[in-house]
Amino acid sequence: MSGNERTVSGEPVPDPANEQFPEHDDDSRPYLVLWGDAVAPKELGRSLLLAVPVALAAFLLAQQVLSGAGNEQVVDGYALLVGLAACVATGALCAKLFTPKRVFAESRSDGIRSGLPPEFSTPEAVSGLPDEYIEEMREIGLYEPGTSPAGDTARKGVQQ
Amino acid sequence: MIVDLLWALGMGLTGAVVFGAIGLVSGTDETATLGPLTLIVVLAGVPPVGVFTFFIAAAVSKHMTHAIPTTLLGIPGDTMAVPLMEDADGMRRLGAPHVALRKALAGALLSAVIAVPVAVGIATALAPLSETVEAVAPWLFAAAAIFVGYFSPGRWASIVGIIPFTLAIAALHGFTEQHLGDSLSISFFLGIAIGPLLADLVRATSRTGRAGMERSGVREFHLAPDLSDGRGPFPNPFRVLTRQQIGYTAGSAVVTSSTFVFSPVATTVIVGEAVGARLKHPYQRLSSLMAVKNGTTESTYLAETIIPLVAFGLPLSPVAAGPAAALFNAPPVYSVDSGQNLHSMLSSWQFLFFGLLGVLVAAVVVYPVAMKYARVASAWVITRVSHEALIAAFAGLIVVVSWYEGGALGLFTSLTVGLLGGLCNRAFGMNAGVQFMCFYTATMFVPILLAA
Repeated sequence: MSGNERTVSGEPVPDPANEQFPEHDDDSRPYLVLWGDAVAPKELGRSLLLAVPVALAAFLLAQQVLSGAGNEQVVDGYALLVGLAACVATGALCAKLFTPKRVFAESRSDGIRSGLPPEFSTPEAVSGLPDEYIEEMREIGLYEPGTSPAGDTARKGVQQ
Repeated sequence: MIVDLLWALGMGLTGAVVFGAIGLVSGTDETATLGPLTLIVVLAGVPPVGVFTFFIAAAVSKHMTHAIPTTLLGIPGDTMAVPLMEDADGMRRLGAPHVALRKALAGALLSAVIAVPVAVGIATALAPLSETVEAVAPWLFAAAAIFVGYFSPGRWASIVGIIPFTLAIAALHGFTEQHLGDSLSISFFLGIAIGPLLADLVRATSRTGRAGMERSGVREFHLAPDLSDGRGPFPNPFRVLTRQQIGYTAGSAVVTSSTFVFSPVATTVIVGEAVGARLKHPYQRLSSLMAVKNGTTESTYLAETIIPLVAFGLPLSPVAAGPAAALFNAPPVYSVDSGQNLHSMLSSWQFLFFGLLGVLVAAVVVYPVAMKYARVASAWVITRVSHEALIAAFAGLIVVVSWYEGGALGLFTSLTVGLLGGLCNRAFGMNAGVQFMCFYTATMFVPILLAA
């Protein structure tokens, strides 16, 4: 579902207030890397404007409604629970409104190991390595006796 | 007895399910989630065994599932998972995130099973020293701040930062206490925990600051297919790990279950360095560190809760003073001052039994599910849960929890500490572990120093 978001960067149309195409932005560099992942600033702003007041309001409202229903600590505890539930609910709503800015690629486990250093599975590298590790590496395609999983010319020193 | 057991099982199950799910959501800090929810459990009148089993099952479960976003998506599951990131990234580059996850889960289970008896044993041995430890605890925290700082990414910058940061916390702590008549702690913790996020958010609104954060493309996530293996519904941790990994994980678990004053994040980093240095081959090192480090997040967490609780009844460790605080002090049910808390209500044998029960519940409920459905869950999170929604929900959570503790002043305290801590973290590499230690130094050591 997020596969079409790659071409967003050239999008010239500014998006005033409509969330139908949430990835639109008039900037040529529409994303900010924040807390480890890319976000669209406008959508983040809207999400925050939605989530924070609603969560706080839910908490304060629950505190008011429940007050007088017993121990103040317990009332606060339940109000907190209501507030946390509101966070989860608004989070879910934001997730519905704003789609992730990620490209999800299913990669195949065997074959492609382009970034693998050539010294990774040469006989010298694996010598002294307990057999269990070699077995595991073979299972996930990191080590093939006879071929270098680096897949390039680095293949040398073939182990029989 | 039967009633106790039923309470323990029920609450353990609740903790495991709720926190198994929370662990999947990256960025959810234990202090921010486990702390308040444990408090609610205590205040709701759950019997002591139920509270304790809830906490243990929840902590163990969360430290299992936090490995899922960490290994499969490359986003730290929570603050505890941050030290695992580098090795998890390495495993992902090798196209083996699932192996990383299996290793992490198996390591977590193995360590948890070891940590509970070791921690209870050490606590029993330490109990006679209770008064001495109480007397030197403030000094321990000050020394720990320097020690943890040295092992943080910032090293000397972190050590230089300790004094101003501690002073700022001490000032803010005194100021809020004066106005509220009661001291804040959750707000400070939240502030430190969410610092990096807050610093990023504020920076994004600054025209100068956002220059380095912009990018044109979206991030690509690769998810390798599941390994086809017939390991059955309950993959045996002893089969998932190599013999060497079992040795290192068990050894680290024993050692780290006996230390309890240092920040778990820092302990995990140190253990990782110590073990990693002994392993030469990249695959051997990366896969082993997944088990060892994630195991250490379990064992330190359990030890830091159990040892101060069983031996002293005083929150003398970072975890005890943070997420586990409600086990010590939750007026009017538990109180440190009157000595009425889990420490006095349960015997060592009960701590051992119900601690292991909590681990068992997590092992039965969360471990097999995480092993089996990790990939489906991750794919769902990648394609459905946007980062915006996550940040928004988390921001809401912070506002609610800090308001719960101290009203508007609590919220502003979180914001102040968060912004300051976040900048120190981002700019100097002074991580949350150092900052937590600064908090204890500020609240325990500084008063002694000033009185002298």
